[in-house]
Amino acid sequence: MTVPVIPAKAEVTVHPDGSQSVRVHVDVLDLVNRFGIEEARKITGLNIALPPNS
Amino acid sequence: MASGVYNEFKGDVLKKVHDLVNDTVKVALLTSSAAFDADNDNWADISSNEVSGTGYSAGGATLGSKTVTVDNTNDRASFDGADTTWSTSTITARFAAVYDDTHASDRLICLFDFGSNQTSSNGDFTIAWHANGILLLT
Repeated sequence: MTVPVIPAKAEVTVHPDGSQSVRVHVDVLDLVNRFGIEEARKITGLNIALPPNS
Repeated sequence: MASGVYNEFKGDVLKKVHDLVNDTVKVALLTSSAAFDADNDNWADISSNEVSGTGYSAGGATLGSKTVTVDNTNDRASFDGADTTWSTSTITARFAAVYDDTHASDRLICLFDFGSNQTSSNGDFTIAWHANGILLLT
């Protein structure tokens, strides 16, 4: 299973001493290829149903 | 480029190869030279592209607070762990690989693509796992 790359939601913080921290938010991977259903629901606002017996 | 779950791990789940709660699970960072290939089996298959840098040890960090949760409301189960942080590090990474370090061959579980290089400079490099976990079985 592969899934499209969703642009990383990375929070980059540059500190006063010049150092830089990064916090990378990744999306959950669905083991049986249902990845993206919840994101799709959020994006479309629709209650997208999973196929039967999924 | 893409994120994904390795095929061998899918088979492993059906053959009770892993105990994700009790096994040592590692999170390793990879450079942009890596690529997701679902046919890869073991950490050694991709470790040549592991990052190096201040605050980062070869093989990656141990995933803490691992849980497997059954969700009867949404009819699914999830695997989750604490956010992973390399403190006071100087790292540039494009991917994070998750693998079972207890397995004799360090079996790969999944790979996350950040979409672009992410960099810490004498600061924290943190992977914030999704609220729904690292993996879902639906």
